[in-house]
Amino acid sequence: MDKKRILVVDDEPNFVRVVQLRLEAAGYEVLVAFDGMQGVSTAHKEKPDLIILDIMMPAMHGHRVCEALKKSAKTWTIPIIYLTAKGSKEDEELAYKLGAEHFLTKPYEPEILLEIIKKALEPGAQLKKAEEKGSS
Amino acid sequence: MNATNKNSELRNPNSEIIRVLLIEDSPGYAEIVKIMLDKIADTRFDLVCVRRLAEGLECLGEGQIDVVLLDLKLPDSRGIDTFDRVYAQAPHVPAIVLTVTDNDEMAIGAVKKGAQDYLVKEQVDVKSLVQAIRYAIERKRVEEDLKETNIFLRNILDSSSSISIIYNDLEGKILFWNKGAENMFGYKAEEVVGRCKADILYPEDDEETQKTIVGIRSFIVSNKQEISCEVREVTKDGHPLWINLTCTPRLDEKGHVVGILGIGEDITVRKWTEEAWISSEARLRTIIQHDVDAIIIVDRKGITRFINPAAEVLFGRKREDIEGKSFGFPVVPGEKAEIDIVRKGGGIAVAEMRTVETEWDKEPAYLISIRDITERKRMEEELRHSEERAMAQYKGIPIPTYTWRKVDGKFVLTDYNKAAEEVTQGKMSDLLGKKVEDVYPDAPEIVGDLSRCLQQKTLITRQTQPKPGKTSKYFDCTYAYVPPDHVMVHVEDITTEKEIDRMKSELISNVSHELRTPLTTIKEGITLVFDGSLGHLNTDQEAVLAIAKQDIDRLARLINDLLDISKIEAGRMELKKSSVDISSLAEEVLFSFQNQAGKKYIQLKPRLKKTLPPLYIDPDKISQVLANLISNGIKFTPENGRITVGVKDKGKDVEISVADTGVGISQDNIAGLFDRFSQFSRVYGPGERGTGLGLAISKEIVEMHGGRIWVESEVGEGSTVTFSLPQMSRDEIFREYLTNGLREAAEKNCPLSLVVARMKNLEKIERGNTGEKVFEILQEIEGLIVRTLRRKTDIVSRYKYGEIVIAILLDTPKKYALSVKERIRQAIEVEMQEKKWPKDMEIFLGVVTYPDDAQDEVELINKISKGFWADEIIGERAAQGGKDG
Repeated sequence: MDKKRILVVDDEPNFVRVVQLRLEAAGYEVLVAFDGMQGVSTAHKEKPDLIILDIMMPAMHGHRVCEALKKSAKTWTIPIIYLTAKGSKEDEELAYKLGAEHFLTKPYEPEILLEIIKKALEPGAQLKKAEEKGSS
Repeated sequence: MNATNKNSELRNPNSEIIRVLLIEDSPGYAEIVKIMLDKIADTRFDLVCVRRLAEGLECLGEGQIDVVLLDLKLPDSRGIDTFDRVYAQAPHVPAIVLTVTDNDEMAIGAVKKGAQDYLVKEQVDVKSLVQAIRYAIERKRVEEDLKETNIFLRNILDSSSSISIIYNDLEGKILFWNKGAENMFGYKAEEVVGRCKADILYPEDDEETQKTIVGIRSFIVSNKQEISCEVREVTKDGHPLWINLTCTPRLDEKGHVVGILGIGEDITVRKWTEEAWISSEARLRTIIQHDVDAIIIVDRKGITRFINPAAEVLFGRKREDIEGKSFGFPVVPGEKAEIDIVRKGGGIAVAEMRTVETEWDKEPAYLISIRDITERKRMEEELRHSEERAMAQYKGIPIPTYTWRKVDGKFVLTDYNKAAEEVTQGKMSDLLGKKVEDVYPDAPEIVGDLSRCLQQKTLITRQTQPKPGKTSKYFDCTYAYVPPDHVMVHVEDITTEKEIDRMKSELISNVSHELRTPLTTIKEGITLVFDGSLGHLNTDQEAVLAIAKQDIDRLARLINDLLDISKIEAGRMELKKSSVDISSLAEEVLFSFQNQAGKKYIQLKPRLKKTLPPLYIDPDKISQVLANLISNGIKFTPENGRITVGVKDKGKDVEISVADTGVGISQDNIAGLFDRFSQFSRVYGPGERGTGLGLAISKEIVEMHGGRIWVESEVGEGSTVTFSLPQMSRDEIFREYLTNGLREAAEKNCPLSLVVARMKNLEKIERGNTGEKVFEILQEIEGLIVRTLRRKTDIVSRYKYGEIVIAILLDTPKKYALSVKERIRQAIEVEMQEKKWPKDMEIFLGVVTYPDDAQDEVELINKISKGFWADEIIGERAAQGGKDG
């Protein structure tokens, strides 16, 4: 099976680098984007299997990135995991409302992050989520 | 410092040092108060903190305290009694009660009993604390002043036994009747107050007097001036009296005459003297001799020919010194004049002089009668002053203040002070006399607050939100009842404070972001190397990185804890409460420590109570407390020990305890245990180090829930930390849901709808079935509604001892709420047929929406309780086509 591809969208190059190392060590292929705009266009072009998203970024705010991706026919199925230092309740609520898969705050526990990524990438996970949404 | 000095200090709100006595058993909170007070630049606060009531009373006994901050729950006294004892010890010192919940009946009770205010601990910020302290001192001062003024006034009014003071309204109804009037007319105050003055004092057949009285009234109403005249009035036993009556108009705020104050002197003897003089000179000499008025005979040349003993007293001179000398005052017959008389012993007496023509020793002469009216004058002055003083206090407050009066069921603006005029840039005068609905067309809540204030005769406060398109400001409004039918409203602009609050919380959030981002990178970098993802490490490298990693985790915890503390301090920590089964929560948290405990062979033992009704708490925050206590326990318990988590039903509260078999804490250390950064000398085991903030945060969280936290410990035996959480009744929970929902709706300017379901003939069904069955049905209805709702934010609650099931739908206009109701109706109908519920059961169903149907909580509750919402019935009668509602 091909390597799963994960897009990391965050404006902190240092952070992007260590996450990339972590994910690559876990066997994923990693794409990176350093602001929101870049994130949206990379997602459209490359259609990654999962996106890791920060909130406070130049060019385009994380919530707006999430909204744009979830509204686009090309990208709405891609699970999005927020990974942000801005961990207020409001942000968390908004993230889920916009359709995010998970909301993690920095600093994160590597094992938890990997576990969540694994779950989100399980075949059928997205389908199940869509069903739940439709039935509620 | 002597007593007067102290008093004047107390009276000056601008004095530089305000001495605050804080009676509070939580050292953590005392610390917060201290920090807050230290932040104030323009005033210095001397804070004295004591933990026990006894110490507090002692402190108050020593004097020199300007204001008391008082927690009602102290180790040596709890409840309203705490306030009573403080008040008894120092009634002149303003007291502010500290409480943990906003709706603390005890705190409200204390305010009713004379506390100046109460403060909800977690909501206190620097601004509100200082404001409360300043206001408390100021209000207390005004209160004491008024009390003094009132006593003073009462003394003046009652001290003069020979002068009658009667106050009546324009219809002549007597509202006040002093001692002097009792003596003069023989009626006791209670006999005449409320009756018509004319019926009592003026004989009906005396047309002349009637005319005079009518004349006085119309003169006063049109001229608004004082007027004096002589009238004939009748005593209780029928004697006629001649009264010299001075009538003064009392004006309301608009300048309309509302009543007449009459000050009367008995001049019967003098009058009689004047009348009878001409007929019998000789007889009158004797009478003059004994008259209380000073009588002087002056001949046409102005030479004094005779004075009576009263005149001797008045002038303070002997008869021989005056008779035969020039009288010295201009004499005009038929006129009254006020003269100042210099008394022999010094001091000036004010006297009223009246002159009539007469004969003396067969020569034409003047009879001058002089009455000392110094006392009356003084009284009139004092009355005027006391009113001016009260007025000045009101006018001078630098906070815009408006007075409303209820006229024909509507509130009308009757007055405003200088600050109000400044705020509106002089537009106030146009608004005088306008109805509140016209002055504030967009703020229906003001009408509600005004009527509530007038009805309950209490102080009401409300913070208003900006209104889009109207105002971007926040206001603090205080409604105060002013007898008999006025409400005074202070409106303070707190926009700046709100702005500062907002900036503060933004700063907290930004700092947290800035700190966490690099920390995350460092942590992940080290972890990546440490766990071998990037290649193999030797033992030394691994050991060094392990230490680095441990301390990074500690730093991360420290940042989180500091943020929590600053949130609490800024009043920013919000509870997201929901119904939670505390035993499951405790179990869950306990077993999440299995790994950590396993490393030290520590046994985790739950001792729970599974049958408790759910608590209304913030599950995340309470988990945080539990995790904190359990991790502390593990940290300080040696290998092979035991951690027991217990949940106990204590009726009003639930107690949750975490017991360890660790080293224990000495008594000296227990006291400061909940202080910040108190890392006392329990022996450290292996594993992570604490931040020293955990217990301080836990305490704040528990107290925000209205609970308490405490420690019992014996050195060598172990420690038990216990906290209590209140078991709120269903009604209380519903009210809290509703309050929070309404607050959010008001803030976001969005509607809030309630879908309400109630069994119609509950008692009948209850008789036919066991109570359990009814409870079951209600439970099923609740479950049905929960399943019908689609959004996470929707809440289902019960009210009226569970009889009413209510769905609270946030941000839902009536239109959508009606469609939700329709879905619920269908679901209930299906269930009714399937479940074989009692045949005669009927269920009311309806929708109430804020702000369409009700403007505030009181109105909403009213509508719910009275069933105004019901527009549909499901059940037997509905099937027959019968509808009422």
